[in-house]
Amino acid sequence: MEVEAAKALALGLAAGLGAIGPGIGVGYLVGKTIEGTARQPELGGQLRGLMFLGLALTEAITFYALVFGLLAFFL
Amino acid sequence: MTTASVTAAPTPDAPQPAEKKSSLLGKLFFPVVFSLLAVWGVIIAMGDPVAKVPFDPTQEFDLGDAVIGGSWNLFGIEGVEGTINKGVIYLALAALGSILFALYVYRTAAKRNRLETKTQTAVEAAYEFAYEQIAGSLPEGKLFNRYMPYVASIFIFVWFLNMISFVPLPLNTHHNIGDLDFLYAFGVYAVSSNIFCTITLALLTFGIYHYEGVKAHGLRGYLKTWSAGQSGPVLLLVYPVEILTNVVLKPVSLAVRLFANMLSGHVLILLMMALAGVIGGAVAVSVFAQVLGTGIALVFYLFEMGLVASLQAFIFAVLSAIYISSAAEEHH
Repeated sequence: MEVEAAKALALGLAAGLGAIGPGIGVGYLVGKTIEGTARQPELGGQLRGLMFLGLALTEAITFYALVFGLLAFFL
Repeated sequence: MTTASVTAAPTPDAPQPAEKKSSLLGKLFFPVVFSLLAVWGVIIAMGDPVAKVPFDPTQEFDLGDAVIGGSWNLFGIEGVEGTINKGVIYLALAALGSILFALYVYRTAAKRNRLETKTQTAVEAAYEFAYEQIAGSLPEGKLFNRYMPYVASIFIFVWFLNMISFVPLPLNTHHNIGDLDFLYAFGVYAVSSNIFCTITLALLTFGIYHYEGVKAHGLRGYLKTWSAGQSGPVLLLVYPVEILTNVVLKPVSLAVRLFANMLSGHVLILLMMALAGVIGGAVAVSVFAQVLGTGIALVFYLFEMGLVASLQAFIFAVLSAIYISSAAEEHH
């Protein structure tokens, strides 16, 4: 396989596979927040704040994968 | 009867401000401005259509040549070059923006009108947000008073860095507008998508939390807090992980999170704008791709500007506060 093709594959695989885990995580996070808000609507605001914090932390993992993919692609 | 006369000082009824009917224009102002900015930015992101230069997304993240002046040796050291490139200008603009914003908040809060104006309410809400949401994880007392300004400043500065990256500025030194070599092409560039910018901000926090940790526990005591409450042979397993976390992972993850978020957002917008060029093929295909790409780019522009930019600034500040407080707090 040519090096260029391997690099492109690496970028695609890293970004794509790296998105699976965080995707599941974000799904759980939002689902649980909705569940929590449905049980105790008065805590909704607090839960939403926590959700966004967790969302950003979870989402960032996707970008680690993307960054390593880009590193493989460009370096 | 007597108690009432003591407590209730006869205050004249505060004149209610006439209920202003917010006009349709007022209601639509922000959405319209937002969308116009997005459309403008997206068009600009296509690059200079006159020059017909092949689009290269990696070029957009290149700092490019000096915008003002040439380069010189930084600190008088040979080989270390300093230039005023677009990154420097974006940073300076963000700093200026934060300073003006902070001064405005200060002036508005210091006025103490008897009747709260709308701006005053908004400013107080913003301050309360910084006080409770961002600095809330700092422990009450000395540490809070010392570092609440720091984390709030970090928030405002990073927010300005992120928001300013969605405003197209004529700083793309790779192209010129037409034949004017003093007027650079417009481009959207995020200086926070440069790892050196974010790692510098992260190292500030890194320095502060280690300083506070050593100050609170002493050097030996601080290093002991990394044992995570374990003792004995388990420590051999735990301690290297803790060292890795505290010395490498915390600052690096702080920096990479912001950098990668902004980078991927901008790459996505730029790539979608260049979809026709990337796919190529027949005219019909490329027209379709361009329309589709422009739509997607617009949506992501609004998403990135409306949510991600603020969210990442918030996360950066909150995590700074959490790291500082966790280094200084009493461990079991």
